[in-house]
Amino acid sequence: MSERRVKEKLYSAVEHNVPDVLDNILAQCDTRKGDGVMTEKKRKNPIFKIATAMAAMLVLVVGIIGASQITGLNDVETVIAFDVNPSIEIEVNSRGQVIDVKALNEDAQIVVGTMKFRNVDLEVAVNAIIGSMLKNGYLSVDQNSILVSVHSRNSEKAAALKETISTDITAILDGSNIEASVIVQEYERNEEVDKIAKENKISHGKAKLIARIIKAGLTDAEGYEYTYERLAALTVNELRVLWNSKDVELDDVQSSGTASETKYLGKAKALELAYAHAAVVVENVVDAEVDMDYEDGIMVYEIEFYADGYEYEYKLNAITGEILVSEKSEEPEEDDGAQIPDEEVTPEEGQNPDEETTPDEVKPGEQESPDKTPGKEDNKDHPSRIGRGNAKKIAMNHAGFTRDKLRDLECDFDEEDGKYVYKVEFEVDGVEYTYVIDVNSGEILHIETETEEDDDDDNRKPGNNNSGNEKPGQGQKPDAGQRPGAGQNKDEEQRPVDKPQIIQKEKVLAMVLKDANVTMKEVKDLKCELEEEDGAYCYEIEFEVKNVEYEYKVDALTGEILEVNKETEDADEADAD
Amino acid sequence: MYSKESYEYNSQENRRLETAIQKMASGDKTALADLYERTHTAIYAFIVSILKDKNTADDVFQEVYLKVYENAASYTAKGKPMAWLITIAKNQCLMQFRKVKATESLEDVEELWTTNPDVEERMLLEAAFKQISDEERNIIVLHVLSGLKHREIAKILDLPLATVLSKYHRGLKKLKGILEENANE
Repeated sequence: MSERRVKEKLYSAVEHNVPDVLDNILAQCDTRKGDGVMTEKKRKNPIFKIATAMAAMLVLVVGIIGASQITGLNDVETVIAFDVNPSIEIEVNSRGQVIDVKALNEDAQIVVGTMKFRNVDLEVAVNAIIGSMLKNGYLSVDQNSILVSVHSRNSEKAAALKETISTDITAILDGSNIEASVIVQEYERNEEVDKIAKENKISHGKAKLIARIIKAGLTDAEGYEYTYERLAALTVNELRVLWNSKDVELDDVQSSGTASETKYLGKAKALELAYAHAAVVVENVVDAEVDMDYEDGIMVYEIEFYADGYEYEYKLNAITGEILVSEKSEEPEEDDGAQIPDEEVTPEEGQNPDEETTPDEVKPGEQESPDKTPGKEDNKDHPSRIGRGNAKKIAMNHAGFTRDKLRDLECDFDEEDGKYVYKVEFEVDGVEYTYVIDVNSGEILHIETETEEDDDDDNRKPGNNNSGNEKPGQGQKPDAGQRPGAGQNKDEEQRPVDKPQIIQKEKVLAMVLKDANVTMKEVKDLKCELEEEDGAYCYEIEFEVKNVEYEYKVDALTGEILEVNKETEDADEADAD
Repeated sequence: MYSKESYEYNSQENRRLETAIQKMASGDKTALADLYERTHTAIYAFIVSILKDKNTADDVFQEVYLKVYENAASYTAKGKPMAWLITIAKNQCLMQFRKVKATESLEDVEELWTTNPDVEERMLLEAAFKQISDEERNIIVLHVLSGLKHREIAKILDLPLATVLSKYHRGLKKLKGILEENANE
């Protein structure tokens, strides 16, 4: 039974119920329309205004003073900024000659070097600068994106310049067999953006681009919006890869070419790596999604997919392929020997793989599942089963083995004496185990072990005859979930020695207190109980610090914090269900 | 019937939705109809899950699409149209709560499943309202039908992410279990 199936059924079930209101909606919406907010107009208008005003002023000035070639030639009409990661600003006069070239960061200084640009034609300067970037490796096949930001009093020139520079750069890079990814934008001098640029040590142009990206509301895969600090550190190439991967268009920004992704693995390879780690075959995978994102200073691939009934999530370093995060949802329903992942089943304090785990460690006399109050078993109309995955886990944990030690692990749904059970079978070191587990409570009803006569595996252990472990007297199928007398009425807390996989209470408490950032001294009314819910064990911890009440739920096998609730005394919000 | 195109909110589908919203901003009613076709089940599921009352849900449902149309012009394309729609739906539900207190009775939703001819669907819907908690159901509906990521759900329902994750898996497991049990009968 997969999530997909639930989805299908749920969808279908709801669909039958959706009222058919489309006609009503269409009829009424006419009366509603009209107060819509206008979409943001392009900012050409202010530019025109300023440009016109400036032009008027210029004419006035020229008219009064008399056209002075020298004065005109020293006036900056246009500023063109290049950003790759070197940041360079070129100031140009009305005749297309360079007045000054400013290197805004260290890399830019390397690019500019000792070149002098005064009175040089813009085209020549662009050539020289781009050439230098290529020579110094700032532009390459891996890193082919350059941001060109144009700011001009003369808007017509600005538009024309954007064209010609873009074409020039493309041509220059083409000469080196590199496909250029040129991003062009215009901008207005803006104090706020200026401030951000200075704070983050980037050019005004780059700050503007980032402002546009943030304005587009891009969020990372976690749903958080990007900030200037995070994005300022990226190269223009990385920025472009990022916003491209989010399928977003930026207003007022034109891009040509494709941002180089050659230094990244590529989505296909990333998926391959994830599948390999999850040990799934691509044929069994459905709903795979790959996104690129930028996190903690590196580009990552974020991957989600379903396979064999599990839901997986991966995060990989986009360059090295290193797996940064891997997550897997809870148990599957299929029985195909699917691997139970280490993180869920075997915390470090579990097995010492070098030790001979002889079947003597198995204490079938001790029932592992904690006491179940009679009411719990039969109150629900539709009790949910623990699932094969959990049944396997319970058997494995009880036997005290890690997954890799087990051979031929199988779990079958079966019926015994009118009760539904899971039969978990596996073999370790020549001994075959059979666990019979109640499907609803997860209680181990009985266990059988026997040596195999004709064993065909390598690690046959002679003399490990453990048929004596079979205790048919134990584990009578209880009527109402009560344990027979032989199984002690233990209280909720497990003795760690029987169950090496359950983390000790003290450790869990320490972790929880750390998470809540409080010390044991500050804590009052501390309660800590090991609970079992549908076959999974967790600690429920409650305590109070000053007037705040804390509630934690921690997975007892992995130590993962499942739930946290905090309530201040005077809050009246309903408790999370 | 289940068809991958009909409600899988992948990036292609999201782009289509955003195009529709853009057109709606200029008053295109065909675009509204298109958007409605692509989203009505997911949105209705959410509303009815929150309100737990079919009749009220039906009213709010209509209102939601009218609001969507009204506000289409102020939508900025971020690649998450469903989250936007759901937020509008949520707000309408909240406004509804202010008018009328939610009832505890299951009668108001029983109609959802009692009229369903398919046994499995009946069981599933009934279980969704009786066997799992409200939050679990809301979360499942948002993830499974509207395709929202858990983090987005956490934001919309104002819950910690860990809670969303664990409730999702817990609720889903119960529902799966119910379907499975039914299959074995």
